Amino acid sequence: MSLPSKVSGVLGNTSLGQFDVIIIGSGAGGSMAARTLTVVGGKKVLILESGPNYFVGLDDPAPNMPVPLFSNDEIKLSVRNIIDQDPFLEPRTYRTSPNVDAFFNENVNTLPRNVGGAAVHADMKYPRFNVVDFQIATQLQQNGISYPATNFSDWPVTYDELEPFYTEAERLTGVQGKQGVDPFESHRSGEYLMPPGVPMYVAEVLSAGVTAQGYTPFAYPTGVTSRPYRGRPPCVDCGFCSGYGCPNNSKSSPAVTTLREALLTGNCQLRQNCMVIRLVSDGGTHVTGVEYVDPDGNRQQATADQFIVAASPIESARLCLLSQLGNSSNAVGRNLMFHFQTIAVGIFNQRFHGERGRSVTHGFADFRGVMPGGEAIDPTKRLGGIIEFGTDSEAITAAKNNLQALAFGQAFGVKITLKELLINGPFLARIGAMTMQAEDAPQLANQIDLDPQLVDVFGSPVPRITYANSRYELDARSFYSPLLINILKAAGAQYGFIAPADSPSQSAHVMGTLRMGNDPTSSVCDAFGKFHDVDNLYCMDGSVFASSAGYNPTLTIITLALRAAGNIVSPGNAERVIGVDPPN
Amino acid sequence: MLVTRRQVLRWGAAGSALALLPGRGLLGCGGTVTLQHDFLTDEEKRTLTAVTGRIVPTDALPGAVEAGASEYISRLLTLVPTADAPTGNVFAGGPFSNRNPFPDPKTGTPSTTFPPDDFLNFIPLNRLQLMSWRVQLLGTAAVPGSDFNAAVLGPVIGWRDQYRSGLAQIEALSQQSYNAAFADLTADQQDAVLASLNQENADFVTLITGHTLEGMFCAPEYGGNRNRVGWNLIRYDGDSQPLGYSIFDETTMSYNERSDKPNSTQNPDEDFSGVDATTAQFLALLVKAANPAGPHFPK
Repeated sequence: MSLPSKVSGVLGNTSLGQFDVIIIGSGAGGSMAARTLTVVGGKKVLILESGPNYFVGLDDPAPNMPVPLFSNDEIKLSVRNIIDQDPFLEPRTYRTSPNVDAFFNENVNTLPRNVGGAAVHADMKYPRFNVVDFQIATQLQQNGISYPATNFSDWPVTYDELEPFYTEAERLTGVQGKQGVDPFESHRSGEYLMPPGVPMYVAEVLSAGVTAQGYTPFAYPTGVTSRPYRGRPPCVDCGFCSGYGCPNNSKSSPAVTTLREALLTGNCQLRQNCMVIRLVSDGGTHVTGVEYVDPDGNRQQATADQFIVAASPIESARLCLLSQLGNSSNAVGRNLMFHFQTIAVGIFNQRFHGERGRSVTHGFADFRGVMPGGEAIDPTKRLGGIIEFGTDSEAITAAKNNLQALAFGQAFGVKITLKELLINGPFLARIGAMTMQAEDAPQLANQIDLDPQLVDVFGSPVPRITYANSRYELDARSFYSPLLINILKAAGAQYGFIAPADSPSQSAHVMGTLRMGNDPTSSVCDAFGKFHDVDNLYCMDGSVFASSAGYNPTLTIITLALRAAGNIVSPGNAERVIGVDPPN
Repeated sequence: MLVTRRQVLRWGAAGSALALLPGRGLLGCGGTVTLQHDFLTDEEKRTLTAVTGRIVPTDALPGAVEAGASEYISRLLTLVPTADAPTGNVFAGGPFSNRNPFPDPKTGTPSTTFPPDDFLNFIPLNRLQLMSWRVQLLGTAAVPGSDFNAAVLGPVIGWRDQYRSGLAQIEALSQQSYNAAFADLTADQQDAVLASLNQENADFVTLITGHTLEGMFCAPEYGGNRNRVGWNLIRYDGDSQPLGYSIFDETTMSYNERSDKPNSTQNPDEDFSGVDATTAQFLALLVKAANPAGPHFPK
């Protein structure tokens, strides 16, 4: 297939000028939507992406394309943050309650801005949610569990309805794992399509401690190849995974899976470095176009019949607020959730060489707090989250972390030097840590609105985040912290402690803000992501989550996007899009 | 722009080749061309190198001076990206350096074919990245259109100005206390000057310390970590692509690990001796104080 001549900065079919659908954001949700609409539906799609493209040849059908500009380079990816949102250009403000002033905060869970979205930097841990997660409000009520200020709701979709879409999302992106190794996993219709890859040494050591304490470690379901898969090579376990774009396309990120398939249809055009600043509407019930700032800084407009916001929860909600759209419920921006991380840090006698292997290869789910099979709450536990096993892999970041510890030690009269810490490596090579991605209860008061003072480089008010934890997740932290410490001891750690909690939690798992539900007075979107108030506007990112569950969110984001876009292609019969591949 | 990208590419090669030669002074490695055009003067670079040498000193093992951390900083300050040359020394290219070979999927072992060093092809910045990096290096006052939040957040002072005034401050403190240039002081005197600097200008100490560590452990293409001195010091592998650690064998459809650098098991020379006594004492204190309300061990 040959594509039309290239236009600078534009990917895909550059000659398209009329579009059926405009998608805002090329991340996990937007890319799955684009793939479904173009490959299956034959729709003409325009994707507007605020960031640049680092996959050279992403729309070139030649094999071995694209060539990523990502690399095992800590300066580029971690110190200078080539793909992250720039806090100078697009600051955010943060406060813990409406009664205090909000202040500039460098990182309130900002997510990458580049073609492929936040999933470019993720290490693609891809567990499914449990059956119980979609009926969480009912289950809590039945168990007599209630916490003040929380605002739980059942989802307007069940696990059983989603299961075929989970399976298809795993097939399209490429997920490794092994069915049955996690006793808390909910029922699956089939085995994973690739087996688990090579475990990390730290995972082997921590798994032994977990087993000794009576829990069940397992190979983490992960969107990374362990075999040649759909034209991509097997992962080589280079060690620079979480926080890093993949140098050889073995990470199943949207750019090299769903988005590339969409761009190669000839039905799709992607304009990079284009920041959408407003949705233009007819009286707030029908979107007629979008206004965006192009790569040269000029204002432009684009039109289509239907519009999809997929810019991640904080940005999608901000766009709705800037456009005064979809908010008859007064729920836009509310129920903002970040997974609440509890991190148990062990320091061991051996070196774990964390620069080898993917960032996380194993974990366990006993602390999610559900019964085996994940169909009911375990009333003897708390609802926490899945636990990830990790170590440190970044030399510069770890070296800088020494500085704070050093100042503290010297204040207590310990004569230790920076160089000694660097050589001994307690905070790099010898760390074995467990991170709990605990469920964050939805709260009406946890929200994003528009900051009254700061603007971004485009002149729009920036997101102001108001967020504080509820007793729900704090109780889970207290309940599981001693158990995590016991595991570290059993695994042979010499030292162990629970890291102080961040405010807000720096999980980079951002959910809520445009909650899906059946009741238009308390939710923003329906079960297919369509706005209750607007007849041609959809949301297909993590904004629609009604609760946060205790599992990494991305697989569920793309599963919901697949189903929602399927319902546009085939109204009332979204399952028809499953199993459809582009012609060879 | 005084320095072209082509020159940068040459420095990368010249820097690593010259560093192998004995008797070369640290600052001479880049050759006279770089010295003529560097933002920092020779005097400033001499001070800077001496400061980095106190942040990670040289003893029986090499430190920041041997790693060339000051060259990393010097290059960062010199190579300001512009609209005409929008790379600067900001984002090294990808996906591979030339330090590791390709895997051979036919045999599941390393091949003998190495990729070219893509890291040397620095990536152009887009319009907004360019604005942000020029602000970082030159300050909001020097970058049109960058003052959109200055009324609330105040102006940004660029790294160039911070280094120029910070290094001058170090020299002034040194002259005031010891009547000599900082680079000519004893180690103890230098530490005393830096302690005074920390009282007066802690922000600059934080900046220069962070940059020194970056210059020790960065990919060598950024100008520091010369001969991988930093990575070797802490027994860190650095970049491993395209080989990585798990080599897929297409005939058996399974992975082989590397015996020299195993992924799933301990290093071949692992002795489980743990940290030294001072570090142990330090860690015992730290686990108690890191989160006093939380569980920890040892008690």
